[in-house]
Amino acid sequence: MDDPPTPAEWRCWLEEQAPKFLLFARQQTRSEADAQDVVQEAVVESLHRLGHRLPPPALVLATIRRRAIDWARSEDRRRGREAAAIPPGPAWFDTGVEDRELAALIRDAMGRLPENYREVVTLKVWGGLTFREIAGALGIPANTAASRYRYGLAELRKLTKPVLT
Amino acid sequence: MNELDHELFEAELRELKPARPPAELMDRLVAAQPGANLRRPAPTETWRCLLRWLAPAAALAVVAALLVWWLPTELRPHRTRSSRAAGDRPAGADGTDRDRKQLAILDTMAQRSSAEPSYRLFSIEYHLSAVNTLGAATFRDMAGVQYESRDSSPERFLPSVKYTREL
Repeated sequence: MDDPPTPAEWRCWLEEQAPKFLLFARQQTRSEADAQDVVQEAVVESLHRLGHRLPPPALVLATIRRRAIDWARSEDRRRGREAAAIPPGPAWFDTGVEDRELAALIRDAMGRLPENYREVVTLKVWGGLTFREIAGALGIPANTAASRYRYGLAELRKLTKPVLT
Repeated sequence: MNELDHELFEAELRELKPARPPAELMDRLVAAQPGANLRRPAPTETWRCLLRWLAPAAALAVVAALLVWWLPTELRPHRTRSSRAAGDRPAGADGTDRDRKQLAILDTMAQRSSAEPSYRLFSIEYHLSAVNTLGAATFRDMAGVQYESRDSSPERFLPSVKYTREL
């Protein structure tokens, strides 16, 4: 598609993609406000790079990661990032009443995963990217992305074993 | 964790959908719509936009066509000279040319004519009385020497027929 999207196309694309972007950004930043700002900046930057055409999600996710690192590099934000644990904040997942406990468990377990596993698991499971796209977004070989995913999933399984299969 | 466990666990994780962003962020993202300030052009605007570059392009094409037409005209002296070199002698603007072919034809006719058998066509000369200049160009060579090239064609001849009396 060479033309910029219509308002309806744009809204539809956002409805589908923005939840993935924000989930990933929340894991990459130290606060909800930072996550939202990073998502907005990444979306706008990706659009400009593609001449106002709808960008592929992998490009936006990669831009979110780079932007989050840039944000974390500033002195005041770095202190927060070094604290490691993901702070409490808005729910990461849309859940019914029955899933709320499960969603909280996953969120907690994800927060305890090493960052390099967490980002690969998030991009694969909820970002819907291929290992090749993940490799491009994170600047790692595709094989590394695949092995991190397997280790990350196994680790996540251990952390959630009492509840999940 | 075997392959089946792996897939089941993965499927369970996929059941959870990422939360919808807050309305405030969605509003900001919607406002960042690509080309929002450059709204999609209407069909008439598209044509106008097309014409904006089509008109100069057409003008350029006309100029190019004129150049293509004009250049061979300018180069014609070289071609004409070379073609003439292979054929008949050129008619000089400043002199008299003898058309040998014409002379031969008239000579034959004169011989056949019974009215004046005692005269034999001696010669026929054409005096070039007008020259039509087709084009002229000024050239400058690498050494900076300037010279002019003219392409001309004979326009009018004044024939002068001479006979000799046969004895």
